[in-house]
Amino acid sequence: MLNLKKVQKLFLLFLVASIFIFIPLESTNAFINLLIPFVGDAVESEMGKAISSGIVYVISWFIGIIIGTIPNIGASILAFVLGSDFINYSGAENEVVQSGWEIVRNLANAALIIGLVIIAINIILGREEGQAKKTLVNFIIAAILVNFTPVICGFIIDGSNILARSFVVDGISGDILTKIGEAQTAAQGVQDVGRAVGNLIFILIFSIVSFWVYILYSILFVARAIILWILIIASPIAVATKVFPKSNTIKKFFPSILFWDEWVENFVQWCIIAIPAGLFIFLANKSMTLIALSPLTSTSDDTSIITNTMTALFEYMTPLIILIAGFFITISSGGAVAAPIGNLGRKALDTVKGAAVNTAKSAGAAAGTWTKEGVIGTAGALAQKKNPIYFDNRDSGRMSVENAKEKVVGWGRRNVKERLHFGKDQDYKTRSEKADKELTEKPEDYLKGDNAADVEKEVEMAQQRISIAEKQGDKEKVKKMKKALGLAMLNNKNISDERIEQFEKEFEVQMGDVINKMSSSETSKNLKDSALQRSSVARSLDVKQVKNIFRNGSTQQQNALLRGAKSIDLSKNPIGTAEYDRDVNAKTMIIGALRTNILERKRGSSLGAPTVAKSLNTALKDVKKEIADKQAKKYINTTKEQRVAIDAEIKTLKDKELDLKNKRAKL
Amino acid sequence: MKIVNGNIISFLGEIILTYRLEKEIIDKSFNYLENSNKLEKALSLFFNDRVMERIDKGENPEDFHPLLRLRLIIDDLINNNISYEDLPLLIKEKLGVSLLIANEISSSIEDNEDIKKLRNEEDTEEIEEYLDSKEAMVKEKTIGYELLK
Repeated sequence: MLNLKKVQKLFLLFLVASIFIFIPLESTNAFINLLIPFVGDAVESEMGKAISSGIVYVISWFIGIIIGTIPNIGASILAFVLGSDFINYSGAENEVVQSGWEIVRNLANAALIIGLVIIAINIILGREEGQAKKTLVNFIIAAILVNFTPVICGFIIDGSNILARSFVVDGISGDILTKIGEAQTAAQGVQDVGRAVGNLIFILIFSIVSFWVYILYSILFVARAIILWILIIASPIAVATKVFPKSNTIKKFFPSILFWDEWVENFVQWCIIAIPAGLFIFLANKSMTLIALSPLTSTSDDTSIITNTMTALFEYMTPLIILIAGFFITISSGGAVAAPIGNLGRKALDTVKGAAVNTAKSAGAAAGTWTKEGVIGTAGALAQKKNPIYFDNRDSGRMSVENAKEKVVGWGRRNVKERLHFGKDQDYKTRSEKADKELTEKPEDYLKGDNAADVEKEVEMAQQRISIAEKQGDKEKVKKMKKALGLAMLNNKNISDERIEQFEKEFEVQMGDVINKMSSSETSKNLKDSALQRSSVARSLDVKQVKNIFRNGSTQQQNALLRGAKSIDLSKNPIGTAEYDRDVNAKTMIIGALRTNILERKRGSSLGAPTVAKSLNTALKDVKKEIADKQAKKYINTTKEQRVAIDAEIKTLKDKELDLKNKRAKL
Repeated sequence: MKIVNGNIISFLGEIILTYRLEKEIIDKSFNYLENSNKLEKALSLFFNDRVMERIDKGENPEDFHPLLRLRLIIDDLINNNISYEDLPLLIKEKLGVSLLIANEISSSIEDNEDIKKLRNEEDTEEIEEYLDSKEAMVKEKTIGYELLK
């Protein structure tokens, strides 16, 4: 029975949704403008106007103090760190750097002498002489370079500074600050209370964002200067480590930036980090100047709220978006070394974003959420052929829409670089090397993605690599790669059984045999729940493997194996055929071996197995294990006398075993 | 540890169906007709949507499935952890049937030749596993390994 109230509710929901969804922006704008006079009646009178102007003035005065101060502070700090006095101070001519460097150089020379002694000993003893002579050449180069590192580092730093400074020769543009001042004055002059307060809040948020962006860039440049000092100081030791082999022991003596590889990586990244930062500040300056020359915002009261807000949003946000995007691109070019500053930026942006979103939410949450969810739920329920009148059906509809949305958004959320196939991770060489390495060394890392199209691409890449290895005639490698790819495909839920069959056919590999040859512990380690729920896998396992999964596997693996066994279709093969027998055996074996930890506990307590029988069985098992132990130890580094003694012990244990068996039989 | 074979599973399934203990664990699709063999029937007592749903919800099959509960008792029996005399009380307790029915089930289990045979067989699996692990511990190329090979 349809409930009348629910019908009314649905009709209202439809009506409100239609207004917001089907009526175009202009009409919505007109609708809002239509509402404003009703609300504004109260302030239409002269007295009302005076009061409203007073309120706006007081609010704008408070906000104005904040707006007028914080972006200026941020801009001044950034202007200082971009100035030639500061940016050039990151060079080697600094006194702190010079004294620190001298101490480290002396230490590096000492380390080099130890290295020379090791090389000499190796040459004298004739041990790995060729390698020692090669190292001697490195030693001579390092010994010379150690004394010139400040000059070399200074040359590279100066190069990057010149490039960065060419972008930011004028520091940060003040145009945006002028715009903020103008906007604030305009807001105070607006008679419409709603618009004035709205504009002021918007400018306030904008000021906070711009302050943070300036501060983040400032932190980046200050950190760059200090870290470059430290790197110059550490440079003699880093150069000296080139003489030593790349072993873990050496890395323990020279951790982090004291070791050549890490030092070079850090040094190059911190030098060039200033260039993209400079470029984006330059672009932001340009956009500010252009906007200042041709302002988009109209201060006239005649302009509608939506048009005014949209143009203001575009006008103010363009330079800031360039700066924010530039900041994150700069940080990503700085690699792991700049990550902490990047995190600081992300946190700050999240805070500002959160504040803005919360303000917006408080204005429109009630009506918006109710309408949106109602419409989405209704549409989803109808798509599922369910009656949208009922709440549960709408909820189910919302869930289906959410799933569909996640699918689409998930697709769009993927890395743009991956989609366009550019960047160093996306070139063929890197991808093929990655495939080779993972298939031969880390098969558990292969095909970890959850996007079907990407997974298929990875499979194709792996197949190409296997074909190439086949042509090269490396049979062992081919075998390893086929096994790794087959298992990875089984473990990935995006790959269908048909696709796996196609792979088996194409590469003449039977994954059933591969699985069957695994040890029981390998089975529970290598087969994830996505693999175990395939009927083809469930029917390939032997009793030891199944037992191991029920004994050591996770609950997900155990349940997946049960689902896999369930999906074995007995009607597929006629009774009496080998295939039918195999399928029936697989299902039977799984019922026979099924047990969980909880089950084991219960068996011990509630099933109440008689204590005597249980202790006899335990004792018997212990004796058997002891016999096996003795037999295994008998031939390992033992004398003849010891072996005779072990034989005697084994005999005693066997008598004990027989005795226990007899006792058990009597029960 | 010894585990039950297809014949025993088929026999246990028959017991469940004879004493109508399957009501909570099968769905409408279960076929009572004789167009499938006994083992298939016993298997479908376990591998059906209703049981899988309960397992997916986190229930342990041994908590609700009579076939599995009966199999656990038989596990203890074939591994000599219990004797035939223990069966009636255990069956009564675990399957929730009367003592009369428990006695009937016990005597049919006592008559089952597959269970008897399995009960008298030696369980070598655990020792084999133990020895395998021991062998893995002996490093290759040692004198001990060469001698044991």
